Amino acid sequence: MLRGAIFQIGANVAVRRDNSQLTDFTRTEKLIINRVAVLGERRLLFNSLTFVVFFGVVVALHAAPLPWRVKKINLLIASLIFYGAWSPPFVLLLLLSTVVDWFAARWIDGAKTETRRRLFLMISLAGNLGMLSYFKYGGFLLENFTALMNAAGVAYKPPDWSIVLPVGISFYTFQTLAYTLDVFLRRAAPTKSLLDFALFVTFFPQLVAGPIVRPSQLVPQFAEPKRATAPQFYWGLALMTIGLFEKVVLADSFLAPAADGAFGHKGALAPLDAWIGVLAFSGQIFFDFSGYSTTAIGAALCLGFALPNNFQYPYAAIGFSDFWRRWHISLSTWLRDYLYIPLGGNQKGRARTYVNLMITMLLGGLWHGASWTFVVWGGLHGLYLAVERFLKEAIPERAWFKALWFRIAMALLTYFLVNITWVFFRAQSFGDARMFIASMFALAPEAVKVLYWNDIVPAAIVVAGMVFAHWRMRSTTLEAVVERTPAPVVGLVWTFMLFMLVITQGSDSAFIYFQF
Amino acid sequence: MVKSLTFFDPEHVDRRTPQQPWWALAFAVLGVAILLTIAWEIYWRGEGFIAGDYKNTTGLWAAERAKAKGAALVIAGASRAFGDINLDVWEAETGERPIQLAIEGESPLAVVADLASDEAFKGLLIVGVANDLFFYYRSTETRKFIDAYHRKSPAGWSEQAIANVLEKRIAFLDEDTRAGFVLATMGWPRRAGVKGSEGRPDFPRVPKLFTLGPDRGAMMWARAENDAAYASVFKAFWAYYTDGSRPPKADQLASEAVAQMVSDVNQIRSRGGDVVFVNFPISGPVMTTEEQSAPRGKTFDRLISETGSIGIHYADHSEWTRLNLPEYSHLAAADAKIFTSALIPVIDEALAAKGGRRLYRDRNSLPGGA
Repeated sequence: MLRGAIFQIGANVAVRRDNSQLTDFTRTEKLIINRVAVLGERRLLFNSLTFVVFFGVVVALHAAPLPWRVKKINLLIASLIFYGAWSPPFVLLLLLSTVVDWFAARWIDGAKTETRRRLFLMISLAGNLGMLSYFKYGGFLLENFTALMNAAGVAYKPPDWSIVLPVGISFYTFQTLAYTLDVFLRRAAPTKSLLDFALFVTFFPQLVAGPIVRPSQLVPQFAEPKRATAPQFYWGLALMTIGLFEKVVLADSFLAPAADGAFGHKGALAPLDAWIGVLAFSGQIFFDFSGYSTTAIGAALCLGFALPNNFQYPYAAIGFSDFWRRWHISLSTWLRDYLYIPLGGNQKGRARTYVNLMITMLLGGLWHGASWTFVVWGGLHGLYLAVERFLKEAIPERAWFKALWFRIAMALLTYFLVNITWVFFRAQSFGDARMFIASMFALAPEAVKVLYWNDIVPAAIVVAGMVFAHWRMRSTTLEAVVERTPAPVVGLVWTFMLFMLVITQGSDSAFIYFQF
Repeated sequence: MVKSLTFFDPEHVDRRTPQQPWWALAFAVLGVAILLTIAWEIYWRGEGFIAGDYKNTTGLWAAERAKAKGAALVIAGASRAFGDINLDVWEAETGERPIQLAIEGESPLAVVADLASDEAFKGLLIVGVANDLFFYYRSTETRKFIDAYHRKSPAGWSEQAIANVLEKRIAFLDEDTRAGFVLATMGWPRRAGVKGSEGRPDFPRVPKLFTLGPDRGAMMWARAENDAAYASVFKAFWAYYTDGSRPPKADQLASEAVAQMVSDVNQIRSRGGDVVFVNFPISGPVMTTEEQSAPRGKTFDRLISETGSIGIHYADHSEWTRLNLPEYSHLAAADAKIFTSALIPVIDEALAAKGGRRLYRDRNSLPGGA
């Protein structure tokens, strides 16, 4: 039944692929002729009217005078509804993942021999990674196998592969894997309550796009009754407003037109268009993903639960190890704890350290999507990290390293190099990426202008504001800044964001990270 | 990768709430935001936007598509089929309300194919033919509409249901009042040399032309009809689209469109249904350029001949060439009513001549009470 439903739904078209389906000519036509809206998005998005109603009901039920166990069951049902609102059959997949890891962890904990412990870990790994491979990487593997066979002179025609990628599968798979791995590595004991564990896996605020929460961060919070205090509740609402403002207003309304316009063009671009395009994308991907995380954190806080930060002003990073402490923190720490360190980390000599670093980042790239462009994106970050490590070891510390001018120069260099990686992340193919980078450096012949001032100016202002804000915020937290800001100013900013959300009327578009 | 993280402790989460008078702040923010929203609503009502004018969403289309079953009467096509047929008039005169599946700016080929492959549809399909779009353009956006129907989800359904409740009461919920569109139309200076910008109107896309009912019954928006400066934006767009400097049309595309229609029409007929093609009134430069770029003999007449279908062309009815088209391409709201009223008996007689189904459900509603 599940398989039938999957095939009935058909192939999922990733958000960023949309414009690529249009030729230059038709792109110009379509962007200006069609004023219809894609409403009826198949997922339950934070930026949807349905979520407003859904969340209101959940908060009301959570505040009702009910036993804690009933409230937890309510939250579990709400989370399954949240996920099932996209495609009900896929709830079974989520439950399957939950049950497999619940039992696997118990069996690992109770196993008498190391062999049996490893066997039960393998069951968990095979279940999770097998599911991920089938749904996310099946088509990619088949495509590459076919290319390999054809290159070897074997005429191989692959079967049709139209499998829908279950929303958030990469996120919840990593979350449940962390649980069994923690139990296997004896970092944590298995959870006593299946209900608590199921809630840990499915908790709706962070289910489909993170943060990827560790069991030790969230499971204990389900043990005792939780209800937000009044300040927590209002701060949670403020965080949700900030997150949705980032997504709906900044990412979708101010930055997406420039990014989509530049990356949607096939062929050489004028340098200004290419630079604005990639800078706009750097802002779009940040505000889109950070917006999701901030909304998730706010939603959880409204219910009395604490989720970890996922971003810490990454575009103020000085160097790449600093960047990865600030960008998608829950993924980078996951990769560190469950991949880099088990590979040996930096404990097995200099050469192995570089190899481990590269493996970690290449797989990190592949985690984002089944495409070689993502692998190159990860590879570039691995290379940057390796070069940085090498330079730090080779060049002794100098006093002027701490000078403001040097730190700003290094932060700008880091941001510049990150933007180069974003080209591979966003481009549809290596050919497109090569052309785009050539365009950025005025090396592409027959370059054309594709962006209008109404695309360029808002994007430039938002990106400049973003980079400046990240720099000012790099050593502090949002909470600290809000606390020392006069209440009328906080109220003014909050009102502005809320009103902008209303007049932008939502954006109807999915979060980019849903496709991962 | 990283040895220590300042911002992430895998063991536990510490979420501090900043000190502020939160209750008072939330109360003030909500109050001021509501006042601002009311002011925003008043402003847009002053600009001619009305409550009960629905967004033309994929979800709204999908809800109508779901009704296209059995012997239903369905309209497909582009913006002319969308705005030139008045559903209220049609229902009042025939006793049956058509299902409106036309999509602005899109060729209907994909929608016709979708209906042809749907065994549950056995009704009458009226297909609007705008020669340029129908024969020489391959739509890409239509897929989103068809997908919204075939891949319907509980979230998609509830989102449309809530939107319907709000749009019935709030005027500013419109694609043209979105902050992003307002920002893009604030009179920015033109950037010289942008690809494809030559002769293009100073708008990011075609602005609002129709108002929509809850079942996609459309009519020309009052402002497009009465505000000459606003109507001139459309005239500029149509001139841009029909610019003779574009590459010549490929006959191959027209042949493919006709071949697909032959197959689809036969499939619908094999289930007892039928297809009628209608070419809607146009005037002025739109008519001149369309006759040049997609001449009737190579397009519409060929389609009718090869499919053996009923074909109704506005030029064959001299009284229709005198109707009011404020921007040369679509009928004014009052004239759409006149046109609909006149179109029904023409189709009905053609169907009667073929021995097919009649449009009038109630004999008393036949013209002259016959």
